[in-house]
Amino acid sequence: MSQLLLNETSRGESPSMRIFIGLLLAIVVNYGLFTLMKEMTTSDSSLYRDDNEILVLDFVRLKQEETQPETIKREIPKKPPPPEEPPPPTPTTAPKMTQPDVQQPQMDMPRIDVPLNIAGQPYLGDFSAEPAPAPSPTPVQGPQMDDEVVPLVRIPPNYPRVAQRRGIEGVVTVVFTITRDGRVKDPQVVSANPENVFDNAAKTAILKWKFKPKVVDGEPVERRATQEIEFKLAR
Amino acid sequence: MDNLFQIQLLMESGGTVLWLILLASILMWTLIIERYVFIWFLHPREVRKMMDEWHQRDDLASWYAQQIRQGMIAESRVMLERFLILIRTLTVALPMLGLLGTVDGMIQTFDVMTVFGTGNTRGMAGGISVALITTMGGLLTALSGLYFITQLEQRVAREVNNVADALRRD
Repeated sequence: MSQLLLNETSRGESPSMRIFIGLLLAIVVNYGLFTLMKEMTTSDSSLYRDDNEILVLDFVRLKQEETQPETIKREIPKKPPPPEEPPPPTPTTAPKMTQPDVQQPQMDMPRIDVPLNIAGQPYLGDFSAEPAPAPSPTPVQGPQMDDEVVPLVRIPPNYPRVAQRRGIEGVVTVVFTITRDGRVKDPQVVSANPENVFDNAAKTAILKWKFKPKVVDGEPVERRATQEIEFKLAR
Repeated sequence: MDNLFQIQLLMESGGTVLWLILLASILMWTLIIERYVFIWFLHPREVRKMMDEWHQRDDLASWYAQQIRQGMIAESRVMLERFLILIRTLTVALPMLGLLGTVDGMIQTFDVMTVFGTGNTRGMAGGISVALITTMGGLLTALSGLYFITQLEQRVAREVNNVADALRRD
């Protein structure tokens, strides 16, 4: 081998010279290769740019703002004239019928008058406000239209095994407090049919529900609410 | 300049194995180009020198002369085939280095997953990018060298035959 190297050097150019040339060209070639790799990995930059332009166009659209429910809510309280003085408090057993406004045909909203609360409607949906336990000395306001109790999470109750075996169905009405963060506190069974069958199941179920908390002047407030839970056997 | 910066970013996201791949690729291409320079520019000169030596001899048919001819052919073969095996080895080793990078990147990914669960997608993406970029680098560099090493091997075999033909015995 050393003989060969000597031969080569004696014959002409040394191999180191060739390797140097090769190294220079190899760096150029690999620069090209890695540029190609870079192009392959970052080929989607143009897509990002397109996305951004589309987003800007989205941002300019005005239709979405018009369809936001908040603007409707702001307009409605201005329209109706202030209602008359609320009637005196009545016992809870006799809920007074109030016809819902024509403007909101499908919303079931508890009508809450602050000092003397009146349970609102026949059973249109799930909710009717419970009469307040004690009148509080606050000035009378108009009925708040944006005050709906919306269950965000409904957990179906566990059907009690005894009832399931015997094929019993029923309804339980539960009164509970919706806390500021929308959870349920201290539920109480108001009426149950049949009694003492579904009470515990209804209580444990309602504790897992989540509601939209009531908002007064932008602040969430605790409130009482009632909820009917039906127990029906699926057949 | 911007391109260099981008390549530097690529190297950073590829990790240490990508540097190994880059070094191996540079070595491979250095040797390939060295071989081409030798075959195109230096080898013809060598052949001419050998032919002069050969034709200065008086007898071309004796056993001694045959042995000298064989020696000359073998010498030129050695000179021609000098780095070929090394280049061939590098083209085989580069994809394996890419695989090594793949494994390395996946290990990093699973490390992130064991610590953070699947929530830390950004950390996982780092490992996955190491895996994929090194794989791509190994494959791309090996592919770029594959054609040239094959062509070199054929060319060298042909050149050795040409040398044997040039040293005629008559």
